Amino acid sequence: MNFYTKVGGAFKMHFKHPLNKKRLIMRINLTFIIVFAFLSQICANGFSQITIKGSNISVRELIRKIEQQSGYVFLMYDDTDLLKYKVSVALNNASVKDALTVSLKGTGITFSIIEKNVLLKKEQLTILGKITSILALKKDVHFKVIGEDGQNLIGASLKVASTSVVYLSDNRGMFHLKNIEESDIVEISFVGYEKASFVISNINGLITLKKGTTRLEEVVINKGYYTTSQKLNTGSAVQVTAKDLERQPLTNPITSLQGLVPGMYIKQGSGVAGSANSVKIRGTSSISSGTAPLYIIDGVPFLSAPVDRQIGAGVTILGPQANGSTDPMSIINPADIESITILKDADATAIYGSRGSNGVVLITTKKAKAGVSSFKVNVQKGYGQVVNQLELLPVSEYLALRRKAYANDNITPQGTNPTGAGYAPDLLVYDQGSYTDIQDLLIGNTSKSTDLTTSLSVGTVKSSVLVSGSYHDEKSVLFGGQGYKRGTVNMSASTSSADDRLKLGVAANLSFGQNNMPGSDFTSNLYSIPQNFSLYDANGGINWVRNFVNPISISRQKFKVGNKNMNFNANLSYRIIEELTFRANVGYNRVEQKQSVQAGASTISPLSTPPVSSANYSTANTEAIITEAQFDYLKKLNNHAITLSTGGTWQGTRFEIPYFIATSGFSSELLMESFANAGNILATRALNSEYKSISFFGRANYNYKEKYVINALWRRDGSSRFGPEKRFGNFGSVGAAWIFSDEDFFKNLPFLSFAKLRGSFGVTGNDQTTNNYGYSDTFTVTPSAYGGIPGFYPTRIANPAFKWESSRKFELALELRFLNDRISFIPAFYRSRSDNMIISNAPLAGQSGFTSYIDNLDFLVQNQGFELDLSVKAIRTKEVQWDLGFNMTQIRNKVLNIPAEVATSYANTYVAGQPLSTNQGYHFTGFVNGVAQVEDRNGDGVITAGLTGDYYIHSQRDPVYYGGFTSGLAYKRLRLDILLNFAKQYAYTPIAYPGIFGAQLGGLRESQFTPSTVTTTPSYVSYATSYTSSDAVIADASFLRVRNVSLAYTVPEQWVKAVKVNQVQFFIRGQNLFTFTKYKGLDPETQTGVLPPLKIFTAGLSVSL
Amino acid sequence: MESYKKNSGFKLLGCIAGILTLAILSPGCEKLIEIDTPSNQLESRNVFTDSVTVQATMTGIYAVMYNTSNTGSVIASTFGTYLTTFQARSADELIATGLVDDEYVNNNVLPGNSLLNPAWNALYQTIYSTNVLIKGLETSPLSPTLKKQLTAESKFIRAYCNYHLVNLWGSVPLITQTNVDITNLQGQAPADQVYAHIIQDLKDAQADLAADYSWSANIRTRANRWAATAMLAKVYLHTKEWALAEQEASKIIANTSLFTLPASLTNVFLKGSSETIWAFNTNYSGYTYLGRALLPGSATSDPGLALTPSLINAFERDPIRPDYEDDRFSAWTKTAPSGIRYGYKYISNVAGANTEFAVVLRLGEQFLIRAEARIQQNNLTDGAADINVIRRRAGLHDTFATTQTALITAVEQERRLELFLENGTRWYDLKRTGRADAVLAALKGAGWQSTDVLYPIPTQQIIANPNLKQNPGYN
Repeated sequence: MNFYTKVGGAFKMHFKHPLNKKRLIMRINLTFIIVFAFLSQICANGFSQITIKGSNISVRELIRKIEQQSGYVFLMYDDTDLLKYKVSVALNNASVKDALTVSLKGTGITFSIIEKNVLLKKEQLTILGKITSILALKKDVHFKVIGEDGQNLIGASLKVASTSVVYLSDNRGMFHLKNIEESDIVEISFVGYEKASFVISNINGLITLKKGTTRLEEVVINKGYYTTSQKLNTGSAVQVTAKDLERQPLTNPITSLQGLVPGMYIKQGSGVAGSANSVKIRGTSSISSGTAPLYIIDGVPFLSAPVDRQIGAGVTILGPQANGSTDPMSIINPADIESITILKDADATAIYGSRGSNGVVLITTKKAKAGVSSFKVNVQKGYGQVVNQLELLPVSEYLALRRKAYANDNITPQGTNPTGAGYAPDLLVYDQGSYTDIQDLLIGNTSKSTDLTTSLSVGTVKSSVLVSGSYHDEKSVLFGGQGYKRGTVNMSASTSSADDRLKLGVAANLSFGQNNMPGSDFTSNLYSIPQNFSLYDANGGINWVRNFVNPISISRQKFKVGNKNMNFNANLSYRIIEELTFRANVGYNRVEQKQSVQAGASTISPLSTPPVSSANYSTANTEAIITEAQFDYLKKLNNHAITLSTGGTWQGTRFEIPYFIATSGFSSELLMESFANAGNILATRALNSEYKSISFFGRANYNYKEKYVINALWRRDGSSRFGPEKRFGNFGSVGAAWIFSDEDFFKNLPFLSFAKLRGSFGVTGNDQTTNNYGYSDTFTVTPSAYGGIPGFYPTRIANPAFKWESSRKFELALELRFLNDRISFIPAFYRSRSDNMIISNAPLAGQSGFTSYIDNLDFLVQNQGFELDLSVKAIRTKEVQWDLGFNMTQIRNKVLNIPAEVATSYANTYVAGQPLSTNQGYHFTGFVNGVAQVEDRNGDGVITAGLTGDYYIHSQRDPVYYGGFTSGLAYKRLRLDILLNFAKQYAYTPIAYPGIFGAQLGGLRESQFTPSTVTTTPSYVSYATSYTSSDAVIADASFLRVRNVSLAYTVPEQWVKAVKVNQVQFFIRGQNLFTFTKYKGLDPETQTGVLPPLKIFTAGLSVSL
Repeated sequence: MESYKKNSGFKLLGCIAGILTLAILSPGCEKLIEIDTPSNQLESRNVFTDSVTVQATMTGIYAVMYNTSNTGSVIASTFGTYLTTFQARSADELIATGLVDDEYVNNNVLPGNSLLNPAWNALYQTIYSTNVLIKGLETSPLSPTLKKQLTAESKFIRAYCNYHLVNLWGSVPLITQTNVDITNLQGQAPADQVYAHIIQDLKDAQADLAADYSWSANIRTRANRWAATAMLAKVYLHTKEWALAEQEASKIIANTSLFTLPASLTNVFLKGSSETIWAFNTNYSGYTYLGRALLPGSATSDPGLALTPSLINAFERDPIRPDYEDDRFSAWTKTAPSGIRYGYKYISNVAGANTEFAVVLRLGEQFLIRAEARIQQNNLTDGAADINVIRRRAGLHDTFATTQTALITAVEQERRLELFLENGTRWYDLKRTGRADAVLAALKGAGWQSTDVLYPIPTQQIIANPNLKQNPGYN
């Protein structure tokens, strides 16, 4: 509000537009009506504090309201003229005494309070009183503001009613007001607390604010190009704040979202530092385009694919990396993030046009708070371990099984000829009594981690600067893995002009990571090594054998990944006139990854060929520049509010692999850090490609009485990935909301505090193909020369017609709040249908010159599901606060149409009516004489692979449903947070064949196969050809995981006050503490073959000055 | 409003920003999303504006034809290996020593054969490259001489590919353009239409190509006018235009300054051979892929493909009378320690001192083309003389055949012994002369059907293009 009043005769207004009084008065009336409509709700709930806003109301009216709100009774001396006085008031939770002092100031009415009676009379001013009123006493006031829970409220804002000057509390929660009238009223507000008004003369050192039930109008939802309030939001957007991220001792901020966001499924790639997540928002809707959401960090798009794969076709990958591939997101420090907003439905994502179909993840980094200066240090130390190890047969049982198998085969094992039949070194060469727990040795180590985060922020009312730095050091649990280091620097600054019309902000985020892993994740092959094998020979060197790769050799090979990320953003906003604002944003992002894989000769088996040191080196980087400009127009008129926005975006991205060099032959293994020392250059490559897009968008939002909201979006996108005729496409959505709890007929339901029905429909696109030149015919240098002359040849056939994949999304949701917002319940139903599938290798008849090209095929894929979000403020007392949250997502993915012209090509991959990604195989019917049997489903008398043969689809690969549970319990200074997540899903279970060298899974005890050592026995053949491709190897991999437990204790202020410290907090945290599952593999989330997510304990201390 | 006047600077800023936004929104924005091609690639529109690049595109066609195969393995080269070994097995030249059920030897090639489809694709991939070049040169600003040469050379290679396609599969799609929307679903053209197109291409090539080897630094690894002429002579045999075949073959035989028969049979396939009209350059691999496919891997091992007894027995062998002993048998075949006899026209199969090019067209064949053409025109004396040129080099007596029928048989026999394991010649000869049933049914027994003269259209192609009709005998 832009007008402030004193009372009665001294009525004073601060107009922004003194020439337009008529409009102002209309606006005052509007404000008055809205405020009253709203207040009457609160008053009805029996607040004892007085809250009244309004101008030009009579004293009679004032009294009536105070009586209603407080239960006080007013008495009057004979002068009823007093009641005709007009006053203007703006009171928030004021006491009766304050309320009256303020309201009646200057009216010449005095009052006295006796118990619950108020006596009004005409003031008889004393001489001194008259002088005082003329001189209006001024003084300096210092006081502190705390919350009812004892928190210092740092950065709380205070507005002086008479001057509209705003102050902010400092980093101790102190206000220092100079030269202020004793009679002035101040209004103090702080996010999460209820606003309150006080009269200066009544303040004595300390003010306590009540903890507020956050009003829906105040929760601001960031939807990228615009913000909206939770109340008026028409789309599906979930916001996760720093508090939820900070608690989890994880290096990748996205991993921390597991279980927190309905509709978002995150699967960790592996437990090795830097591993990539698979992130799906509302299922898989694409066949060969990307399925990852669009990530935006501070307005700058950020690609989450491993940097060396962003370039797409023709990419050279160094080989299997221990962590799968490094996720660029993993070098972003979670502590630098203020909030993450996940946009899901068409209403929320359509403004991202051609890239919004997989959902949008908006990441906002921390900025300094206006008016607060603080210095924070956070130190924590952690220990991580693999949660679970597989049960293996004891050596004796394993050897017995082997002997039995040889007996079954009628083969006498021999230990002399490694290439001959019946060679059984585990029975005849290795020490029968020795035992190495290889599993424990290789993945059973403890990873120690250290984290240090500091931040300094300096803020005044108009400007603020934040600088923060962090360092993370983590040792690997993998044997020989050196570990992961990360340093980050985050800076931001913002300022605004004296009249607040111009605002300028800049932010820069730099991260550096160095990940030194062993050559590969040996979790996949360590179960094939007999445990009586000695990894080292008598001299302590690597014990080389022919049967398998000694993991010690892998552990000595190096995989080094160096990452750099730089994100820069500058934004400006300028309010041209009251209703019209211009905004501009410029951003730059560069991610860089330097990799080398080094296999020294000493790490390669000398048994077959003489070992030669070899190493590969490469770098990859991606740079993106984005510029945006936008106009916003906001107009309110009586019951109508309209917002119009229009803007444009240009983005240029360049992908590059400046070099890939494969080398061999080093004079020393110590010289393998550089390719310059290599004797032979085996291959070199350099790749680059570009991507540009341009868009303009418009938005119109209208609401009537804040009860009916309609939000329409339109975006026109041009993308360089498509043919010249198909570059531009139109996307858009319409969302609507009806806040029906504001309707009269619902007002009688006291338990229902808020109810909204919202729905949206729209079209978004997907241009996430890595093929940046699919529309054009390109020529590339031939891999071989002809007659010594390098040639040039067509490597791609032009398809100028290919275009966006598009999704039509529909959503219908209810948002309900009960019992004065104590319970929030949001069920949502959604359906999206995607078609025009971009198929990067759509089949072509060879006669066209190519066998495939990029094209849109007429697949139709549907994702339909149901999401539930429930949160309960279970306990709210001064000492105990307990919040509970639960969310769940049920999803059904279905291919609705397979185009006829490619039906044969895809007959073994997709079936109409079934999900895109399925587990398919034979139906296992049991064992006959130790031989696995499968069903001849098509009854043709032979067992043939594939869905066109005897396969059937027995389960879907994506989870059927998943969700999370959160609990936050605060008792005095102690806070306990718990996060659980769960998923119902199916996965491959680890299996082995009894009798084969190195097969020692615990499950072999129950195996019904006839043990054998020969791969041609009927039993083994049935294992290899049918059993392993049957439904017998798929198991229920559902799980419930205690993902995070965090316990924090805040030291009482008085203890640390003496050393000038503001706040000290100790905490202990645990990640992945327990997992409840029937799944037999290492971990139900990452499943077989990779290092599972670690169980991590951390303890730490945070201090703020 | 006073305070606002002070901020006129901001207002100006607002206006600039507004103009900028409008600029972004203007229709010219398409320029803003134009991108550069990667530094290791060029778009076709940029290829045809630079003479060096266009020439590299021409050599690229040869490089891809001979050195790079669809399957990624250089040994699996279609042009270097399969277009000889498929037909040699289907006819009576080769048997696979290790394979029990060789679909080609048994004349039972299945539509799903894993090597047939790559061969189809390789031929059409090459045709696409030539079509791109022909089309690109039409509007290219380059010199007319260069355009003429490269267009003609492309047409020659297109004709060469179509020649194999029509011989292997009969009626095949005739692809003369690059627009995938049209070419992808094009149906088959009748064989005579394909031949007509081949002849037209070869005539155009003959007219425009250089009459020397100056475009390939005077080594014979790129097609010139004589290659087009030789190919034309060869194709006229298929269309039974005997006079034209004689006329074209004579042009080459007459050009003795370029083409002569080396006296020694061991020199025929050497790099500098004066007999070569067109050969693939083998410098990249250092050996011929055919040598790699036919020769044993080591001195002690067996070759994978052995000569059939039928071919071995076809050579005249009488060590007592030298002129009844065919020198080609000792020069161009060899026995492994196990007794298996294999083709030995190319003698190197490892990189190193490579001395051979992979010959496609040579003078020797032209003599036999002319011989056949003359005999068919009843010019028996000259026909016999042409046969004798070849026989004499092989150390043999002159042919005893005198009647037209006998001479036709004699020329067939001579072609078999002179041109064995050379790009499917024998298979194509048996088919075009209608002798396949007679010769192969006797040799292969009940496995032979008349419809086996054509290979099946690969399954993948039928799936991808429903307009293709499977050849008879394969449904």
